[in-house]
Amino acid sequence: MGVLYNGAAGLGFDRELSMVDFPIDQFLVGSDISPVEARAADFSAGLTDWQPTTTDTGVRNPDKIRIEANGYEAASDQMNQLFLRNTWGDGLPVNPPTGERVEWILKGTELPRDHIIGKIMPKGGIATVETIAVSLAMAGGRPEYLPVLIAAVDAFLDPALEHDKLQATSGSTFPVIIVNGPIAKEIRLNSGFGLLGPDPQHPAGASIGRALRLLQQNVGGALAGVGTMAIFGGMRYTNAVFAEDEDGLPEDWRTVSEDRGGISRGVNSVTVYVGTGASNIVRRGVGKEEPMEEAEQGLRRVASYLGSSCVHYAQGWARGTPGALLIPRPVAMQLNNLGWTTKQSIKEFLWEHSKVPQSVVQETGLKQWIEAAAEPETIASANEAMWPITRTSEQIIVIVAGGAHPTHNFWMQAMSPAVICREIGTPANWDSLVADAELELGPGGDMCVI
Amino acid sequence: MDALEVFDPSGATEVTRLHAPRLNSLDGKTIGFISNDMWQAHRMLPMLRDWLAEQYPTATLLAESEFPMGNTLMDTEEAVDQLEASGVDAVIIGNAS
Repeated sequence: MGVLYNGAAGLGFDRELSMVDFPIDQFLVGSDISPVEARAADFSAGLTDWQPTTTDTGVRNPDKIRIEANGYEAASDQMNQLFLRNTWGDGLPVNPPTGERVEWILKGTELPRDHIIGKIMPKGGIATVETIAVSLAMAGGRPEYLPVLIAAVDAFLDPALEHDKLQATSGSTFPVIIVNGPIAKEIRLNSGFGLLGPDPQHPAGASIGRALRLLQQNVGGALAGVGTMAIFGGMRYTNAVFAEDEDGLPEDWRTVSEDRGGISRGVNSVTVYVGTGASNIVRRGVGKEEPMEEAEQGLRRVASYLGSSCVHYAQGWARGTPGALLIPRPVAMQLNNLGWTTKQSIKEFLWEHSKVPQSVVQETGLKQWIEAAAEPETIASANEAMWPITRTSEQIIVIVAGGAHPTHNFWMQAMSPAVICREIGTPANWDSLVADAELELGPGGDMCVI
Repeated sequence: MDALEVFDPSGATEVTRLHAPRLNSLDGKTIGFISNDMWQAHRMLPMLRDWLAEQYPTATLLAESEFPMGNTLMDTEEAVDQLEASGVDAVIIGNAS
């Protein structure tokens, strides 16, 4: 029911609706729907008798909460318990979002604290800079993470991404945030080994992603099983926030933000799409193959993962993406040396070799989903003898990222009607924020402290 | 005794519109149906329409097939314009899940 109340709130109403509710069993294929007929009078009553309780419009600002206890530790415990009771936590301890901590986080931006980035659907809660900073404070964040989080929220709320649907869907979606530019190293965002975390030497991705997730839940109403119907909800503690390994890009390979947003290399930016899962794909051979044989077999193996009856592809077919392929730098270098001298050449290979035969499109019911898509060009593709998983090869995202080891690639499939890029703005005090982090967290960069 | 004063992380909300007044009766009214074309709406909405036709013979019932169907197409300004142009007094939308 929460998802529907959220929907009402997202449309600008208060969280109430005239509706008739049934268990999901009533709406499965071949079900007995006679209980619906038995309650038919409730539908007409909803149009004549139901009355909303809210009679005024306006902004509802929540009050701050005061917690008193015998000592800071007890107060912090009580706050965490209260936040779980109020469904504001994620099960892991959160830092108290006190005025002092939020002020510290707000050093990461020059935007006014009441500046509105947007409304997070389906509930339609207002994401101000302050609200974003509150979530980042809870998520163990630091001021230098805030510019990335603000840009990520702004991108996530771009109407083309249809976050309202992706927040509420039964599909287990999660935003994927790819960062390009020098800011990645400055804030210790991982682009190498274990980039999806956890990594105490690169803690930024976990905090930024967790803060975004808390915003999705608390401001957007995407509470598991109530506001979001995501059946499995994978990747939802921290979403997926990482950087491209720009130092590992072969000479003529463009960055993700150049590819997808036309943003020049060296400019700080985020690229956001909506993911639904991930597959680790063994890339290398057993070591006895010729280099070209091994490389091509590896790419064909990737293409075979991509070439599936993935219904989510229909969602992003026209303008979005089927997903992102993560290639570690030794593999990128090897492919480059063997003639794949641009990312685009790899995309074209994958696109060509991942086409789904029409017989499979039909046998698996994928055809109905293609024909149910919103875009005419997607619908028109339904009868292609070899169905391409996306309209153009350019829409496949290729990222050089991951540890410097040649064994695996990583496919992060999407359910994403668009891919959104945003530049990241940093405040004038940026260098001092980075210097503070150096003092407090130790030397940054790629240095291993072990 | 220590005290923590913390922000409510759910942030502000804004109510920008109120629900429409209810109708006194469905007699003589025009009722539109909007379908997301999922979750057996193709069975349930006709069943409901038949029931309403029997109970309110003077009501005009506009079938879901007369309006854009599906989650994406029903959620557009064009669909709303089409509904308004049809002169509906009330709308029944289904099926959410």
